[in-house]
Amino acid sequence: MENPYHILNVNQNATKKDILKAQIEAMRIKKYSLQEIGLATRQLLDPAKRLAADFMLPARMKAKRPQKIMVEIQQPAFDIKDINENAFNSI
Amino acid sequence: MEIILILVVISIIVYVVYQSSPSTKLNKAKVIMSRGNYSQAEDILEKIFNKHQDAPIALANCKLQQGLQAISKNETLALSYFNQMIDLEKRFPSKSDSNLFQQFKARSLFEISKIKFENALKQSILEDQISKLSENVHFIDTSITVGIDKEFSELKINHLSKLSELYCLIGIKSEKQANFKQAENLFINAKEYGLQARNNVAIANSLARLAICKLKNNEDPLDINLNGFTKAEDRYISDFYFRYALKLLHLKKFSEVEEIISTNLPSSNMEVQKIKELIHAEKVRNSAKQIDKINKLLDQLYEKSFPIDEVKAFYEKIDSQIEDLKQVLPNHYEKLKQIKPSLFNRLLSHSISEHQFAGAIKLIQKFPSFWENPELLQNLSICCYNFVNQGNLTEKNYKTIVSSWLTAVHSPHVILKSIETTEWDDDYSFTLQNALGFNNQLDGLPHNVNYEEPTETNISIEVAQRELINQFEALLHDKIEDVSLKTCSKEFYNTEKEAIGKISSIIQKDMLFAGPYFSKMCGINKDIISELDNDYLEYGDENSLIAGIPYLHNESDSLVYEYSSGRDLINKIIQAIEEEDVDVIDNCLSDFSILTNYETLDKMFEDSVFNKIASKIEEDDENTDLIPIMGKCIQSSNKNDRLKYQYSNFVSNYCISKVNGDEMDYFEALTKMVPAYLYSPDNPKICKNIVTLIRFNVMDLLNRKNNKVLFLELIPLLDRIYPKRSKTFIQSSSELAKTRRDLLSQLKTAGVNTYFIDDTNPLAKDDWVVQDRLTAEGMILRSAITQLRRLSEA
Repeated sequence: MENPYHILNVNQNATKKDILKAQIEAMRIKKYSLQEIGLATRQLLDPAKRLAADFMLPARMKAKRPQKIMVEIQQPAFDIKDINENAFNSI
Repeated sequence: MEIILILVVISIIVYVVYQSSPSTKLNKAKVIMSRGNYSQAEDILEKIFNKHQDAPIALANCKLQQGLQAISKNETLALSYFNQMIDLEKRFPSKSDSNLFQQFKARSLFEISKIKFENALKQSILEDQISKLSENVHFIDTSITVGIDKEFSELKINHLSKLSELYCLIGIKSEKQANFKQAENLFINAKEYGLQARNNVAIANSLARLAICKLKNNEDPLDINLNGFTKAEDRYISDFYFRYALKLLHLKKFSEVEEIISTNLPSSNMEVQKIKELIHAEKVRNSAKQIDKINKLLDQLYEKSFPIDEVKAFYEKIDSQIEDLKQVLPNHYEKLKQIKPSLFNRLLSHSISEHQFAGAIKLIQKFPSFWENPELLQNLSICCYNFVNQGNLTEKNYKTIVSSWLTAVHSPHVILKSIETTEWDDDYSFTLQNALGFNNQLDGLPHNVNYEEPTETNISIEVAQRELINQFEALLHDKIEDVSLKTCSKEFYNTEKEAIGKISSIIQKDMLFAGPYFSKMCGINKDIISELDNDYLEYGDENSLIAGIPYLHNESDSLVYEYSSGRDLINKIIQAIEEEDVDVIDNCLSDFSILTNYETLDKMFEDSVFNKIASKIEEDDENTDLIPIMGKCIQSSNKNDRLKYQYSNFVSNYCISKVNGDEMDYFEALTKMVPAYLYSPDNPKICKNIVTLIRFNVMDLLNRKNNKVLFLELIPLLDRIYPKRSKTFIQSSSELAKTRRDLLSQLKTAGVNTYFIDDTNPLAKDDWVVQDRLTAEGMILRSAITQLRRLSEA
């Protein structure tokens, strides 16, 4: 079953007026049958059924636009050669 | 006088002869030896060396003892005695005890070896010590060891251990002089001697020094087998690990260096700290490079040309990349975490827009804790719906799809999120009253959501949920062509829906009321079971445990599990009754205590067993194998009145049928019926039948000639009934009173004096009074009449 929002080509914030206008437009385009268009209109004009139709529209997970990350590199003040290789001398 | 003189002379001659005999001298020498005077004994023994066969061995012993005595005072003298003892072998007569001599010789050689060992260790130069010890090892190897093998072996091991230690010491000397190759060879010698001595510490120390030398000589220490090296001195181990860590650091093997440092070296050491800092700096450098790449990918991500395959590759690596970077750059972790949802949204939107729902479902399911995110749960349900709509449901995937859909639709949080995303031009509000999966505990509701009665403007969320459910059910009906798949998916759908309905009506907590399959797939079934356990503990309603059964996976410590095991046990017992397998029933009944913990299980047990037995009786009403099975079930259960009644009816019917058909005598029938009566003494049928059987048995007893045996068996049986007489029994027992009266009347008519037979007569009450007046037959008659009276009296 096609989502009524798709059949009438309206978004989730469509008013009743938008829906009725979209119904006429859909009938003119004839992409869907009159029965489908009528059912879709009734669904979107019925708040409970429209709620069900809303449920079937994909939701985006909350996400912030990732920002570039700047890394500061601090070098140690010594080199590998500065390490005393006899630090644990056992003889 | 002359005679006396002759006697004296003879005595003197005899004495002198006696004193000069070898045996006397040998004994004398032994006595002297026992007093510790070895040199005097030696003189005597030398003189009789060839005259008495025991003299050589005694002399050998004497010299050995002299040597042992001299060890502590004069080693040279001791060695001389031991060598003299050994030299005796050259002139040792063949008839003397050569075995004992070999033992003395071995002892002498052992003592010589010991002295040489001590002397070797006194050498001031290590190399001389090695030389002397090596010579002595050869001496030991060529010595005979009769009777003291163990001492020789220990002495040799001491030599080998000492040699290992000495080679190690001179190896260290060479190492100090930077003659590493020479030192390595010496440590190899030390290790070899350690191996021969089986001295693990010596082996470990040699290996440690060898490995350190290799590192100092810029060689790879792993060329040698370092097994057992950890038993070396701690300072050697630390020295090795530090040098090895440094070598690996030069080779840029940072993770190996870190591992060595963290497990083997003290982090407080300054030089170790330096290594750590260098490694960290290196890691930061590498991380910065990685982040640089990530930044470039992020730039591309917001250029629309970024191919979806690359987004996917980026997404698949991001978790492990973040995990690695978190260790080095913890301050950037929060920023790094923000990348994943963006990538995820991009991929999910792409999959949904391209109608690739299988891929989208997998993507969502792989997202950590996706079930906690209402948007993801909603998207999952949309994908599941469309997946079914595409006709993709199969026997492999229908459980995941159906359970996921139902879980999402039953989550008020998902519906509420959906409400938030729509703007309504009318002033609607929404009510959660009767909403599916709603538990009256939701916090932080949106302003337009309430719990009031639904109206034209207060829209029922439940209606929206039911609309969705209807749509999905229609889909299952319309889009599955395979009949078997349609049947099993619908059945599964109903089971899952029912399970969600049950838990959501019980648990008073804001949690996801998932379908059982979904909950097990995500590992959240434990939380559901735990809540149901708690609910049962608080309210004692076993429905909580019943609701939890579909959610069980491996939660064997839960009450739900215990309850479920009880149900399984009942099923097993019923199956065993069906198969009349008494062993299985016995085994099951040993676990019966589980059932008694739960009222509904106890009841379920009785009902199930009752029904199963009833059906078995219906199949064969003379199946006596059922009697012990019924007996076992009755004995195990507390709630067993119906089973007892069923048992007593079955036994009663069976016995009467057999008696009527002359297939069973009265006594056998009564014997079988007494336990059945005792189980159900209020059962009118068994009361009536048992009274009749008692009467038949009494009459039978009186009619038989040789009735003593029957008498002895019957009376105890009746004695078991007497204290358990029920009202129903007493009401049925008038038959017995009548029999008694008839009997007494018949006896009187026949001219028998019944005074002492009837125990109601004042002088006939006591057995001791009547036993002299009645014959044995008379006594049996009296007992029978007495029993009839006792059993029938009110």
